[in-house]
Amino acid sequence: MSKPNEEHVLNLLKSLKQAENNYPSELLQTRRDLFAKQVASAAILTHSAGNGGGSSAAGAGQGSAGTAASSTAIGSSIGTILEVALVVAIVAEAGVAAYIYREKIADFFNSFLSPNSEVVTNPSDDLSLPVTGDVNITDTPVTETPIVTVTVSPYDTPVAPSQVIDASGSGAGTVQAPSTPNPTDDNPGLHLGQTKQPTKAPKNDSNDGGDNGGDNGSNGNNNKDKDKK
Amino acid sequence: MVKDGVALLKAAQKLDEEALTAIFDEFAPAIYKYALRLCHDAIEADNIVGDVFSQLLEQFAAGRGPRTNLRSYLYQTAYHLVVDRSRENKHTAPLEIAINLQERGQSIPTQTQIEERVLMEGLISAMNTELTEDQRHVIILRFLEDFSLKETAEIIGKEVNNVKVIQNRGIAKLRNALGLQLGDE
Repeated sequence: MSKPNEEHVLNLLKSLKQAENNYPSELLQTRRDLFAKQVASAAILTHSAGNGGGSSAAGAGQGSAGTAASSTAIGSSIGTILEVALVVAIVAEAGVAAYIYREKIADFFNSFLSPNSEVVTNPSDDLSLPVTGDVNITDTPVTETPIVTVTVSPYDTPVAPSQVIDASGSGAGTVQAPSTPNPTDDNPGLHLGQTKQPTKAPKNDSNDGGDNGGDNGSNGNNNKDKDKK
Repeated sequence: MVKDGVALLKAAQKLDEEALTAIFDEFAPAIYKYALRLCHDAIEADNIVGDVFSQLLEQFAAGRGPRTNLRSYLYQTAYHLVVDRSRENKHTAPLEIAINLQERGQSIPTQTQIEERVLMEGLISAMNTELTEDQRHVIILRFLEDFSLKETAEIIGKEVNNVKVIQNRGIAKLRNALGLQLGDE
């Protein structure tokens, strides 16, 4: 035999294609039945998801597949009911808890809504004296006193203290600060020595209190001279 | 009533039971043969057929699945399943694509039939031992399943030019193997 060429190999492959075993009929039938059941269940699930109750009608005429369809539909409806009941229970429980702890929840949200307000508490070491007895605290009326800046100039005329003085000295409309009034006489200088001397009392020879004093004084001096000696 | 390809595919996408059953009847034997060529086990090939059509059903139920070439899609699914299983457990059993020529043919084979049977057994042996996995897939898809180069490339996930190279190398290996066998004899 000569070495086969490519054409020979291809012919052998074609022969191999025709010579192969077919699908065994038992295996094929079993596999087909399984696939048919899968298709039925998938169709039922799809219809139940899309149409709700239409699945039972679709599977009713297919023997065991119809029974499976109805049982699947019942199971899915029970599952839906249980899910709804569970959600309702969770919501109710959350509502009750929120009602019970509503104050804490409100405080919690208030703390978030006003984060800048700080509560300042007194220090623990209170230095104030203990108060015993009744303490009457009366509100003292607060009176505002006008603040007046007064600049004194020697040649200004006196003004009322309630008037505001223009310190900038810009001119018109300003009121001068009060100053010392001018003397009435013609001497505006120093007044030292102008105080009137008290008039001397007229000399009286009678022994009154004044003379006694003088005498006593002289007597006192005499006594000191005696002690020195 | 068996619809044409496009209408059958559209009906199957809507999970029409008749359409899906018709698809199974049309493609299951071919998928079985393909799987049997690759995994050499009838039970394993049957399981692969079941998995292929289960995946097809899941894809249709999820709104996905093939839109145009259903045959290529089924073979591609079978190819991936076979590759995954071959990675899990390496089969070393000989390919028993039972050449039932003896049963089909006459009781007393002629010299030509004997030579052809010898060549066939040599070809099967070479496909199992000499070819790489890619070469075996390409040879089977191209010459036993009659897929085009483009379809083969889509199924095994390679470029068309790459498939051409793989095919030529595979055929060359088979030629060499058969020549060596014939030379030994």
